[in-house]
Amino acid sequence: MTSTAGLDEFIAVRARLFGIAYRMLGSATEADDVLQEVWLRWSEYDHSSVRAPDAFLATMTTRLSINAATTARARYETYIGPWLPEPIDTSDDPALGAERGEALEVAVLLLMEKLTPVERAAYVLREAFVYEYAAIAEIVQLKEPAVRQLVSRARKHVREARRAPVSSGEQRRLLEAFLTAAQVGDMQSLERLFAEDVVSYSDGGGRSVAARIPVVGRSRVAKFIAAFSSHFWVGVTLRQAQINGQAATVLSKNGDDFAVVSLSASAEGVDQITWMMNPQKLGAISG
Amino acid sequence: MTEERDTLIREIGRACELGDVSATHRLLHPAVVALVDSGGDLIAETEPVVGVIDVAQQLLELCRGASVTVGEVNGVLALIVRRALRVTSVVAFDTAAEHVTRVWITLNPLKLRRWNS
Repeated sequence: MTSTAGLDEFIAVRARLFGIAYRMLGSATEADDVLQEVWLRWSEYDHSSVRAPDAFLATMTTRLSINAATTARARYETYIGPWLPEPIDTSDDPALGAERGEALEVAVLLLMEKLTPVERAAYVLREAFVYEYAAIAEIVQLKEPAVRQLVSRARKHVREARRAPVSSGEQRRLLEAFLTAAQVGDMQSLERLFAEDVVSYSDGGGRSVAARIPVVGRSRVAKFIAAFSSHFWVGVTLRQAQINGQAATVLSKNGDDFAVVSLSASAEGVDQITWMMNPQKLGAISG
Repeated sequence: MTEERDTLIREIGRACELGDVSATHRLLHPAVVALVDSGGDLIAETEPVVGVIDVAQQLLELCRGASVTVGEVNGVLALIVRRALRVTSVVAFDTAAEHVTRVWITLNPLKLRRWNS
């Protein structure tokens, strides 16, 4: 036997294996490494003992990707600045080796980073490759009900984060309610308004309140907003405004506009608050 | 819905290539946030870029004097920015109705290697 035994079977499913590994890792480079390893192991395997090479190779790819994802996780924590998935040209293969183009958009890959590697595997195999739950159970070595649970949890996580935005009227109402609660530092009301994964972004502008680092999570954002309630709002006048047709509120003190607050929201609540603290940028706002 | 999104991305691509500040502003949501993955290049922005003005500035600087094409990246339309025939950046978006809500800018040369081979 030469080392090219099994090559045809490997090549036949290569695109699919890459599609699995890329979705799991968000990195074409790391997916290539996984495929290299799969090929090495497969080429030395006793092929006559394998009934379904495609299923066997997919299983090996998924398991090696789970290992690689576990290692990669530690690396992202030390990554300088935001980590984004390696963008991949899909003009020739819009679904990237899969039955469906799921779990491929940058938005979804970023959300999947928050799932455990096994959850991610179950989600990818089900949503993009339409595997039976029983087959996924075998691949990730869990019982079928547990896999169903993993997939449903992952789906919920992705769907909730990609929810439809609220109407502009509702957005205005939420902004007003937010500002009312913020001014008195009402933690409970703030938390009720927020989605669980709410983020508060500030553009700096050299002011202490405008933390350069985004604040994430319902209770942390509520705490952050409530913490500066006492001094921040003294003598501040609020004025409704529109930016690109979206609700915003201009804050001014002694007749000077010094900040603009806007937010985005869905049925889950406020998911993002943006503070623009830089006065020279306020020219773009119409009252 | 996809059609609306595709139109929006083509419009932002055109605005960026032309350096059209007001068109770029108009296409961004007031709570827009851009993330830049530079792979640790200290000159690049490592904090999220927040708000219409800063995000537009980031996009326009990125595209100034470059060729900007719209192509299918990760299954949806994105901008591919080239200088001297080399891909220097890929820009992906998330949108809500008629606005861009998220901008993801990849500058990390390691993540663009496949685009230049």
